[in-house]
Amino acid sequence: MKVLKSLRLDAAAAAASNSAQVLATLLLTMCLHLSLGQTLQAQPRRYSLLAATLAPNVGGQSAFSLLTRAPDWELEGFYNSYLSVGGLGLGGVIMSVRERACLTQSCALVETSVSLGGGLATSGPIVQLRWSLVFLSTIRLDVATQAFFSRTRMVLWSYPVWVGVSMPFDLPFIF
Amino acid sequence: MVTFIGTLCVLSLSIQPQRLVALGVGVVTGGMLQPASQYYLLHYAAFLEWLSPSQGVGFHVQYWQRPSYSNGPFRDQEQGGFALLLTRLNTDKTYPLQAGLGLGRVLGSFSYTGQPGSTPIDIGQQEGYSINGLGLYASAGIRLSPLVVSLVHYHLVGLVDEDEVRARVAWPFLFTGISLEWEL
Repeated sequence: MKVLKSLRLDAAAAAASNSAQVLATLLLTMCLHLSLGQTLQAQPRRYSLLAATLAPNVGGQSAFSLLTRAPDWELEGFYNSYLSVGGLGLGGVIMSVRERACLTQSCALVETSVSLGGGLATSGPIVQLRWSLVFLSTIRLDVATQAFFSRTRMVLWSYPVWVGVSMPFDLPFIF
Repeated sequence: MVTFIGTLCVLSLSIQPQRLVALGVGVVTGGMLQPASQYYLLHYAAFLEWLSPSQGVGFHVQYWQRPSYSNGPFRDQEQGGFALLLTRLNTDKTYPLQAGLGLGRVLGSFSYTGQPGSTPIDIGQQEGYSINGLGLYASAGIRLSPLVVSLVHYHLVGLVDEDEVRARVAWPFLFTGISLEWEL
């Protein structure tokens, strides 16, 4: 019991340390974002690149996601080291359609969206439903459900919290 | 007389002013997945919904339950609910898309009923638990007025206590089903 308690406290301390790092990264990114605001405002903000990590679930799973988004679609690559396929972490690519609901006309303050997508993971086909909340076009909180399809069954997996930063940028030659 | 009443009905429907709030009641049935099990379980639910057609926002209140299951000498059962702020994601009246954000709760119980093969005896040792957390909802439907048939998904991010949150533990409950809503 004492060992379990100690392990749990260690996990809590590690989580607190990680949280501080995430917070520091978010603040730094916000500062950069605000300081570069003048420059960025001069250019059209057509796409955003998002790097996300998530924490809670089964004692903390390490998963990362990189997204590029437009108002009505999203392209994502993700990697989850907690789930394994053939000894390697689960990864995949998902293309989603996105529906937004904004509190203000321009979606600048808070933007909420729901995206539904499909793609390929290292385990096979995948479908994802993702709720997203973006504050000040920078800080992003997501919750997602993924469904993996294997030969014998469908596995539903929950991502209770994704935390990330969103940076506007342009990719004129790609999209 | 019948023609007169019929004409009045048609006229009253055609000149009906825009409703301020659209009310709906419905039922859901489908599968659920809870964190303690990798088996899909049946669940059924009922909900009440208010939505402002002009603003596209409203409330969605849902109660769900699943049948009790026996596994060896144990029997367990769960029910819960969601209280969500609702928003319309599109303006298409035939194929409505909606999303919700709010709170959810699970109340569960399990009891010892005796050894398998013997006559089940409920010896009264029943334990219960409750899990609260963030609730999310998304639906995609087809409107066959006044009926709306939708594919719905609820996601509960269950949080138990501060220690577990610090240790990055959450208890997710997932619900996917078909809903039948009657718009009043």
